[in-house]
Amino acid sequence: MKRESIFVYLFVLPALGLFVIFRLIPLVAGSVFSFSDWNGIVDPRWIGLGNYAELLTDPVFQATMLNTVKVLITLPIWVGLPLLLAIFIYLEVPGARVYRAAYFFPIVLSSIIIGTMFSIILRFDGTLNQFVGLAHIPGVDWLGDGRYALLAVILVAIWAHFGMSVLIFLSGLTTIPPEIIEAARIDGANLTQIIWRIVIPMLRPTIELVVVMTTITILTSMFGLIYVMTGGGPGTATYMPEFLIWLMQGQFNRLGYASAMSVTLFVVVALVGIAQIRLMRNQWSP
Amino acid sequence: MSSALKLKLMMALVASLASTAVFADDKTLVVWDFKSSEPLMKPYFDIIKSTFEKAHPGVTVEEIAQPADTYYTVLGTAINAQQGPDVVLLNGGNLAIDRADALVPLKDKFADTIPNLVGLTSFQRTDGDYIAMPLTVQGSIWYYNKDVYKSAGLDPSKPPQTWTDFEAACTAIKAKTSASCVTFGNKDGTDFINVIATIAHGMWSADTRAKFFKHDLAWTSDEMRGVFAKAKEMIDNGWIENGVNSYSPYTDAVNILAGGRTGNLLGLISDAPNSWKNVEDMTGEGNVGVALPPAVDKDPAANPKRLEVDGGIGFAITKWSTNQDLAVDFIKTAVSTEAAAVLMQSAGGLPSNTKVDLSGLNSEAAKQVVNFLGCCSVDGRIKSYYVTAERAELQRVGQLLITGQMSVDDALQSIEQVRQKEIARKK
Repeated sequence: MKRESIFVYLFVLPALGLFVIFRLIPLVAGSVFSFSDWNGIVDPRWIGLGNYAELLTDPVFQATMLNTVKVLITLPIWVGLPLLLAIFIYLEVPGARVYRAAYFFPIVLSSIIIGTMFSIILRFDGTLNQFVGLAHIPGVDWLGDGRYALLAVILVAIWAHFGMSVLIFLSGLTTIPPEIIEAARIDGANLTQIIWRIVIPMLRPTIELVVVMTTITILTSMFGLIYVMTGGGPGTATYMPEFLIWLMQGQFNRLGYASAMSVTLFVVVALVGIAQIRLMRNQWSP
Repeated sequence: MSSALKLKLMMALVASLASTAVFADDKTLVVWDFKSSEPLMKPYFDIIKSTFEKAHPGVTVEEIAQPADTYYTVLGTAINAQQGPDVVLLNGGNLAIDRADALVPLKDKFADTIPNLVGLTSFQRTDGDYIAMPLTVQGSIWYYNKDVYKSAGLDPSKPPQTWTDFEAACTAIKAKTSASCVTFGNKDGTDFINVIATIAHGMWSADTRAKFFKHDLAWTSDEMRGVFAKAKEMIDNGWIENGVNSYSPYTDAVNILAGGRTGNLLGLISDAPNSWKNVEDMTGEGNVGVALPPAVDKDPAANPKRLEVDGGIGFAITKWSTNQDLAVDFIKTAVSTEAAAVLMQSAGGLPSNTKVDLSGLNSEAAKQVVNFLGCCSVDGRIKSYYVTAERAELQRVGQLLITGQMSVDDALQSIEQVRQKEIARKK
C-alpha cells in the first residue's frame, strides 16, 4: 500500500470509528432487539416478527403514521414559503437585510424555548385567544382540541425551521447569474414571470435538497415541540414516530417494541435518502 | 544518596501510600431524584445528605436532580446499561413496580424500620417484598376556593359530601358566578385519571375495588361504565373549565383556583405544587377549603373512608450498586423521624413515618388534610393500580372525552382492548 493511501485511511479513521460506534453498532443492536420482547432489565425474550406484527395492528402506531402523512402533506408550505421569501430577499425588496436576519432568528432558539413560548401564546387562556377575544371572537383550544392541535404544532414547526431553508435557498440563488434576470427584465418580463420561468427552474437542485431535508426534519426532529406543546395529545392527535418511540422506551419499558418502531422509521428515512440520491443523480447527470 | 534524602523519600512514600489508602476508603453514593431541585424540597435533601455524611466519614452523597418530565426515560437508560445511581427516587404504584427487576428487595434489610412506615403497599412486589421505602404518603383530595363558594351562595364550611351535593354546588357556581365549577390540569391527561379514580372509589363496593386491584375488572364492565357516566356528566353539564387539555396540573390548575376562576380543584395531599401548602400559599390562608371526594350514589356514612392513600415517593436501591449497605443506611436516614419532620415543614410533605408529630402543621388546610388522614383514609389507591399501558390509553381517551371527540363506549372499548392485549402479551 502506498504511503499516501495509508495517510488517507488514517484521516478517515476517526470519522469511521465514530460512525461505527455511535451509528452502526446501535443500528445493528436495535435491529436485533426489534425481534425481542425486552424490558431492558431481564434477558430479552425472542419473539421473531412479533413486534412488527403488533405494529400492523397497533392503533396508536397507525394514528402516529397517519399524523406523519398529514404533516408530510403540508410539505409544499414548508418549502414554498421559505422559497418565496428567499426570492424576495434575493430580488432586494425594501428591507431585505432586516428580513434575512429576522427569518434566521428562530433557528438559534431551541425547540424547547419555542415550544414554551407558543404554549403560552396558544393555550386556551393564552395571548392569541385574549387578543381575538377583544373582537368578541370565541377562543379555540389550539393545543387541547384534537381538531386544531396538529395544525398548531405544524405551523409552529414551520416557523421554527423555515429560516434555515431561506438561507439554503439564498445560497442557491447566488448561483443564478444576475445577467439572466436583468435580460429578462429588459425583455419585459414581470416579477411573476421571472420567478416562474427563470428563478424556480434554475433553483431546482436546491429545491430538491430542501424538500428531502425538510422531509427528514418532519420525520425525526419534531420531538421537542410536541413534548413541550401538547405531550402528544389530545389523544394521539400530535403523536409523531420519534415521540412514540421515546414513550415506548422510557415510560413503557418496551425496548424491543421501541426498536421495531425505530427500525421502521429508519427504513422510511432511508427510502427518503435513496430518493434524494436518485433525484440528485438525475439532475446532475448530463 | 544521603540518609536525610533517603528518609525524606521514605516519608514521602509512606505519606503517598497513606493518602492512597484514604482515597481507597472514600466512597461516593450516587442518588438520583426528580425532586431535589424544587425549592420547597431542597432543605429535606440537604438534611439527609449532611446527616448521612456526618454519620459516614469518607462517604460523599452525590445527589443528582434529573428533570421530572424525563426521569423514567433517563432511569430506563441507566437500567439498560446496569450502571449509574446507587439509590433512586420513585413514584409509588406501577411506575415503581414495573422496574422491580432492577431493584433490590428491601423487606429484610428494613425489618426494623418497616413497622414505623405506612404507604408500603405501593412499592410491594407480587411476592410481598418491597422495592422501595416510602418517604411520604399521597392521595387525591378536593381543594375549593371559599370566595367562589360564598359568591355562589354556598356555605364554605359545608363542602359537598355526595355526588348530588356536588351537582348542586356546580349548578350554583355556574348560575351565580363567572367561575367554572371544576378545573383540571389535563395537558398530559393525568388529572382525568385522578378524577376517574376518585369517582370510582366514591362509587364502588370494597369487592369491586379489590377486583380492580387484581386487574380482574373489565373496563367495559357495568361498574366502570357507572364511573365514566359520572365523568361524562361533569363534561356534558359544563362543570369543567374550558381548555383544561392545555393546562398543567401543577402550575396552571393551581393558578386558576387561586385566581377564583374555578371553584374546585382535585389536588394531592402531600409534597406537590398542587398539594395543600402551595395551594394555600397561592390562594391565601383561610381561603382554601379541603373536601373528601364525594360519595357517589350512596350514603356518605356508608362510605366514610373516601381518602385513598398510599406511598407517594420512595427511595429504592439498584441491583448493580456496589454500595448497597451504604444505600440502606442512606434510606434509613431519609425515612427517619428527624428528616421526615423537615420534609413536612419545608415542603408540606406528609411523612410515611408514623412517629413524626403532625401537630406542628398549623395551617387550616394542613390540619384538615391531617384530620382526614386520621378519620377517613383507606390504604391503597385505585390510580396506582392502572397498568402502564391502560393508564396511557386512559390519559388519551380522557382528553378526547373532554373535547367531545370520543364517546364513553368507544373510550371503554379502547382501554379494554389495551388491557386484553397486555394480558395476552404477558402470557
